[in-house]
Amino acid sequence: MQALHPLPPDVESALLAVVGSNGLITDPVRLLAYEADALTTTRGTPRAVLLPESRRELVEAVRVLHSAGLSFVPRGAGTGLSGGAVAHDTVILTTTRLDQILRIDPEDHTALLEPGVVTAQISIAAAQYGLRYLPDPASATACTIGGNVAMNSGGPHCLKHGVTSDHVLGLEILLPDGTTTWLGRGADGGLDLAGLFIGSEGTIGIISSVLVGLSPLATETRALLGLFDGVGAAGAAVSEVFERGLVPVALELIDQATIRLVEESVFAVGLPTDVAAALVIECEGDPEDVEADLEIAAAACRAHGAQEVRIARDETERLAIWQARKKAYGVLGRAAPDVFVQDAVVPRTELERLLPEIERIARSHGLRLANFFHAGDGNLHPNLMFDRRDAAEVRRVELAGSEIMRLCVDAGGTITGEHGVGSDKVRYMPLMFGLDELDVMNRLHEAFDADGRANPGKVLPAASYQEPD
Amino acid sequence: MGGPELFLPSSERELSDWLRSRVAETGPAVTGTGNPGPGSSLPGEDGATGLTMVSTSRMAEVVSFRPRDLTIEVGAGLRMQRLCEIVEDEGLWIPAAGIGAARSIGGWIAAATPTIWDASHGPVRRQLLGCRVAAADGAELTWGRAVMKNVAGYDLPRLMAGSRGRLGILTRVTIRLWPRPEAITAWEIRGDVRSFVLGSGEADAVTWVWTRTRGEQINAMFTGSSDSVRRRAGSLAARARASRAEIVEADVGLVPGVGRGERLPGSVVYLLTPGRRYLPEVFRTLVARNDARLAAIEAIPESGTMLVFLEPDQVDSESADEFLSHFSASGARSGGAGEREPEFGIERGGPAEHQAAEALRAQGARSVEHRLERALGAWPRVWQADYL
Repeated sequence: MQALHPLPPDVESALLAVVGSNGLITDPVRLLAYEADALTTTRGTPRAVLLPESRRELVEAVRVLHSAGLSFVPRGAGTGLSGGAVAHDTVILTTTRLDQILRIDPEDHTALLEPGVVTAQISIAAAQYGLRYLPDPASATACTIGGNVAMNSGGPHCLKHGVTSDHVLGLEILLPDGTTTWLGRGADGGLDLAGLFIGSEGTIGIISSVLVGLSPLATETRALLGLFDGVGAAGAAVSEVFERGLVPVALELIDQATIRLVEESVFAVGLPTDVAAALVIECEGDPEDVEADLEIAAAACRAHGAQEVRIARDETERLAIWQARKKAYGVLGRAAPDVFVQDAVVPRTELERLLPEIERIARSHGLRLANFFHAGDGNLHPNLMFDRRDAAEVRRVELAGSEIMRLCVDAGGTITGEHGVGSDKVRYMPLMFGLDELDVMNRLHEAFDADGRANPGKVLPAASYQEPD
Repeated sequence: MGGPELFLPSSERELSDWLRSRVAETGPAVTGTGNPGPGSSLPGEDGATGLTMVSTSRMAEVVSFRPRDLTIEVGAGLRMQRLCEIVEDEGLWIPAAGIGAARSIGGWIAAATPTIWDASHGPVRRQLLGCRVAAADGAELTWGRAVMKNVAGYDLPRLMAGSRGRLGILTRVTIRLWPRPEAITAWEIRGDVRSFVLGSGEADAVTWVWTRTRGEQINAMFTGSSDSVRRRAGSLAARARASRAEIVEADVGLVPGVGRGERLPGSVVYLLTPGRRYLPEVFRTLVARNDARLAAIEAIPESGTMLVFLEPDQVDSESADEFLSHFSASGARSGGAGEREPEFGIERGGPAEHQAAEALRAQGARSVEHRLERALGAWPRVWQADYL
C-alpha cells in the first residue's frame, strides 16, 4: 500500500521543521493504523499523519498546510463510530500527544485541558478535590476530550447530567487558516460561539484547548437490574419510570442477543440468558433519596411484567451490573468480524413499538442483531453483525441500516444522537434537513472554511472536492 | 420622535412574507419582539430611526404536547405563566422559575436568561430541543427535533439560545420538560450568610440577594419528594441556627428570583457573569460601594451569574453605563469562567502586553461572530429578549 499522493517535498520539509521526525508519519505501513476509526467499514488512506506535541506545533502545522493548500482531518484517539476521522488522501492531524491537564481549579469547579487528555483521566485527576467530569462516553478510558467536544459525545449518564456541550465552558479553536481564538458560551452577552464549534466534527476548525466544568462527587450511587420476557415490555417500562416522576442518572437496555454474548465471554456476570431484555437503572444522590428512587424504578419495572428486579446491594454488585452493558460492544467481536452500529434517537414512547420493528427488519435481511442502548434518552444503538468480506451481506446491512434509519426519522427521531454524522451518515442528512437548512449550514461552513480543507466530505452533503497534487 | 412601529404577525408565513418585502425595500432594519434584555438600550433610544418592533405575542399556540415524552412545541409568543400552567396540569415542570411570568418562552430562550435551576437542570440551551426560525431573508428554518439528544449537523438550536434574535426570529420552540417535583420549598436565611453562599450541600438551588431596604439574604430551594425536602431543609435549618443565622420558610411564589409574584426593585438590569470563583468578591464590592443608584443584586453563585438592578428614577442609560464601567475598571471580572481565555500558566509580560493580548483575543471572538453573522445574513441590532 502506498499513499495516493505523497506530500510535496517542500511541504514535508516544512512540517518536519515543525513537528520533528517523531511527529510525522509517511511510512505506508505505519499509515495503516490510521485508515479507519472505530467504524471499521469506512476506510481511507491518509497522505501523512502529524502528531504535534504542543499547541504551538499544532498551530504551526496547520499554517504550513494552509499555505500549501492542503486539507486535513483532525483525529483524537480514533474511537469515533461514524467514520469522522477517516482521511481519503488527506493529512491526519492527531492531537493525542497534547495530553496535559493544564489546570484544575477546585474553587471555580473547572479544568483546563489540552485536547488529547483521555476523558476518564479528568475525573481521576479531579477526584482529589471531591469533583468529577460528568459526561462518560463508553470509550471514556480511551477517547479524548478533543474528540468528545468535536462530536458532542454523550454516554449512559448523559440522561440526567447532559452531554459534552452541557459541560464545556470555553474553547480555544484553531481555524483552518491557522488563526486561533478563545470562544466562550455567550455568558457575556455574545453568541454561544463555543457551542457552534462543539459537535462540528472538525469541519470548521480544530479544538486546541478546552475549559470544562466539574461537579461534586455523588454522595451515593446505586443501580438495579430489571429482567423482562419481551423487549417491548422493557421499552414500556422505560417510559413508566419517567411517568412516575423519576429521572435516573442512567437507564440502559440490553437485549437477549447481547446478554448471551456477554455470558459466553470472560466478562460473564451471571445474567440469565433466557430473558428477552434487561434494564439497567442507576440513581444517585442523598442515600435516603436513592433508596426511594430505586423503589420507584423497581415498581415501574414490575408494572410492565418484569420477571425479576435485582437491586445491587453493594458497589461490587453495581459494577457487575454495569459490566454487562459496558463490555457489550467488545463481545460482539465473538459473533462476527464486523459490526454496523446505528445511533438514531426517537421519542422515548416510540421504543415499545420500534424495538420489535427493528428486530423484524434485521430478520427480514437475514442479519443478526444485538441491541444495547441509552433507553432513557431514546438513543438506539442497533448493532448489525456481518462479515465485510461477504459483499452480499454488506449490501444487506446497508439496506437494513437504511430501513432502520427511515423508521426512526419517520417516528420523529434524528439520525444521530451522540456518534456524529461523520462520513457514515452524510447520506441521511437530507432526511433531517430541507434545502434551506442545508444551505444555511453550508454558508456557515464556508464562513470558516471557504476552501473546504477542514475534514472534507464530513457532516454536510458536500459539493465536489478536489485535493491538489 | 415617537416610539417604534409595532408589527404583530399571526403566523410564520405572515412574518416571513413581511421580512421578504422588508428586505427588498429597505434592508433588514428590523428590531425585536419586546423589551431588550439586560445591558441593552430600548430600540430607538439611541436615535436610530426606521425600526419596526416585531412581537410574536400572537404566535402563542401549542403545536404539539407529548407529556409522556417530556416535550412540548409551542409558538414563541406563548407567555411563561400559561405555558407553566399547561405542563403542570400534566404533572410536568419547566425549570425556569424566576424569569417573569408575563415573559414569552421565545423571549426567555432568545435572551438565555439564567435561572436558579441552571446548576441542577442545565441552562436554557439544554432545555431547547428544537426551534423554527424566521431568517433575515424570510426563510423559514427548522432546527433540532423533539428528542433528548441530537448531533445531526451543526448545533443551531444551541446557537439560537441567547442569540437575542440576531440570527433570526424564533417563531416556535420545542423544549424539554421535567417531572414536576412532589414538593418545592423555599427558605430564607438572614444574618451571617457567608457560609451558605456557595451552596449548602443540602439545597438544590441557592440565590443570594441584596436589596437596599432588606439587606442580604440567601434563598435556599429544595425540590423532590416531600420526605426528601423535609429532611434536607431540616438539616440546613439546624446548620443555620448553629451559626446564629435566622432561617424561615418562605412562600415559594414570593421569594425574589424564584416565584412569579414579587419582582426585585429597580428596572435597569445588568447581567454580570463573574464566574463561581469571583462572584462573592464582585457581589461584596458592589454592595460596599453604597451607590445610591444600586437598587438590588440577585446572584446565582453556583452558575456564577448575577443580575444588577439600578434605580430607574435615578439613572439615565449614560450614568448606568458609567456605573458599570467604573465597576469593570475596578478589576472585577465581567467575563466569567469560560468567557475569557485562561492564562495557561504562561508568563505574558507586563500589563501593557496583557492588555494588548486581551484586545487581540476579543478581536478574534468578534471576527468569528462577524463571519457567522455574514454567513447567516444576521441583524446585529435585533433584540428578541422579553415580552410586550
